[in-house]
Amino acid sequence: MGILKVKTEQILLEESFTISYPLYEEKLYESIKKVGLLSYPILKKEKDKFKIICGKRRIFVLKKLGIKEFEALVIKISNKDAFILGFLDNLAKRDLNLVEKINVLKGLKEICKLSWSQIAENFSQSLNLPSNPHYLNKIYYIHELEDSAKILLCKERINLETCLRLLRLNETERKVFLEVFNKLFLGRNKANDLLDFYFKIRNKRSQKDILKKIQSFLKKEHTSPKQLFQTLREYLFRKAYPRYSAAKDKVKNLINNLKLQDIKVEFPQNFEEKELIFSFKVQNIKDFITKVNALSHIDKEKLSEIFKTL
Amino acid sequence: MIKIKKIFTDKSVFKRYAKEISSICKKIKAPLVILNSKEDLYIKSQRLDLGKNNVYLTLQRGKILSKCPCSKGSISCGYFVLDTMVGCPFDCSYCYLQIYQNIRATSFYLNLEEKIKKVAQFLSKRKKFMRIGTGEFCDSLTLEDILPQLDILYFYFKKLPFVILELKTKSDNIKSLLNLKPLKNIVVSWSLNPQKIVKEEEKYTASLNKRLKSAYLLQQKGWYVGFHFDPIIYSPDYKDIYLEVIKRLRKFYPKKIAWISLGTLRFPPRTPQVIKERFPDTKILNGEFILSNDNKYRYFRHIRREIYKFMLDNLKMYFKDVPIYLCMETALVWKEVFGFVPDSKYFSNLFSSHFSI
Repeated sequence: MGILKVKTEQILLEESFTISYPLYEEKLYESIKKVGLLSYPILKKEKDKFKIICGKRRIFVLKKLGIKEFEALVIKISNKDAFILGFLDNLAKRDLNLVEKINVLKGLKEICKLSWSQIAENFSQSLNLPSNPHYLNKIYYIHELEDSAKILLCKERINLETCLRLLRLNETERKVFLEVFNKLFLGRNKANDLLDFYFKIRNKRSQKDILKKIQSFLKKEHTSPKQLFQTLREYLFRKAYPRYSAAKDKVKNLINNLKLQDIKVEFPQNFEEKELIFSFKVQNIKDFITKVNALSHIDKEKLSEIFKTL
Repeated sequence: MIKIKKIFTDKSVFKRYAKEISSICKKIKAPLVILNSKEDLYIKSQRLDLGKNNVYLTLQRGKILSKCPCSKGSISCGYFVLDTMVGCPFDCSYCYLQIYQNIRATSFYLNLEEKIKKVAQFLSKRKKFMRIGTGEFCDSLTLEDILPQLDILYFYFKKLPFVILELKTKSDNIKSLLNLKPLKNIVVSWSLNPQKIVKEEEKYTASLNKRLKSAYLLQQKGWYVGFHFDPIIYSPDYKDIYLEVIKRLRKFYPKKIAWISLGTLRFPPRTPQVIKERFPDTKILNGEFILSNDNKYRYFRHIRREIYKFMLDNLKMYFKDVPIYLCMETALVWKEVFGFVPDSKYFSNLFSSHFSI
């Protein structure tokens, strides 16, 4: 053991102990291309192959550059220690992103066989995660998400909460929503708004049509992200709140039918009161009399219909 | 029977009630943890573990009797709340205790008798009709086997015939009541929901069958029983499933039904977040919830109106003389459903005449 020459084909890239995500980084690629490796990757020998403890990204770049052989520090170590060494090495050098933190949880659980309470007690602080075992257990499942979701999480285009909710969708649904989140840079509340409405309706038979409709909105060109979000939100809201939306539309139409020019008619948006607010501005007495006259000649049948609908 | 896994108490409380605490521990066969500070029991960050199987033996230090807070702008039924315990071993997805409760245990008061005695003295002087219930912050009966309170309540309320005491439950734990002589002013009531909802949303509670069986048994023994369709949960098939429950009430003797209340699902704004975290598969959030004027999410008013009208019409078919009322509803909904808005005297007249008090 020690510094050895290792062939890239001997590396078990998929079975490494490292937590780095994503694997490919343009800057690292350029740097290795220019100056080569600055430090030795650390490996563990497994029969005639090697598992990576530290340096997965670097080796990934070497492979990409077509380099067949490189020098590495090969050590004899247990799987558990190899994982902890890899993770601590990364932690000492840089901040971990959320996917990497979840990879740490996965390794501590699956390689080190620690309980969630042990992980919470010993590692949550260094990972800057809440020390609640249930919470750690919950976010651990994010490792099951596809790369497209993990990349959005790394780029902070979606947050942990949204990820957890994405896990509850099936693959087809998730694909559509990841497309939405990829296209729109939504904050937590807006992303969850869309998901909230979708969760309300997703069990209905029309689920397939809804996803198709969302995709058709996404395909529309010349729509600004703001417009697109509003269209999606409005569409999902109407599906999730059919009776409320219908009542609201009906009242709005009835108010328009009153044809009161320059007189604003408002109704309680939550429908908790049967009341209308009439408001208008006047600039002179004539103007005032015109508006009062318009109100006194209001179509009583139409007005009564509004109160009925409210 | 509910299994208690841990018992907590404070140092100071243990000093004062060592004998009582030791006997409780012996009976429950659960380990005792003496806390330096109540803070050790606080729920931190994520409210995932509410300590459903823990008990915190403590003292009732505040007001034990208070007016039911109802909801701003709602019609109050004049109910009073007796704070005998806080917390519940059941885990209903919609429960507001998830927001309200800040410790990982059910608080059980060791000084209950002292407090009830004072309340009883106050009420006996007041001599006014009142409805009081213990089921606001807890289930009135579920822990009765292991942490009994009924004897104390029975003893003091027996002497207060003009005060109706309601014990509200989702359990079938009625053994202690079966051994007591029924009192006209103690009502045992059940929260009812269709079995489908009980199964999906009311974790650890007794099935609808068991609840109705217990209620029937008690009524047969001479007790007054009450029913609360609260929270009514909307679903596309709500009419079918709730009608099924209403039909099952037909076997009850109407004169011995103290009241039936109706209330649709409602919750303060912070609740959906906690519900989503703790019950990711729940369907209760699927309705058309609108933020109402009291800053609570409720079903869109037209849906509430439809639900109440449906329930009332069907209940009235069998129980035209039983007091039926809406819980925490606005004057507008009352007017739309009942055709009138109750005034302050309506409820006391309604209940006192039903009980002939």
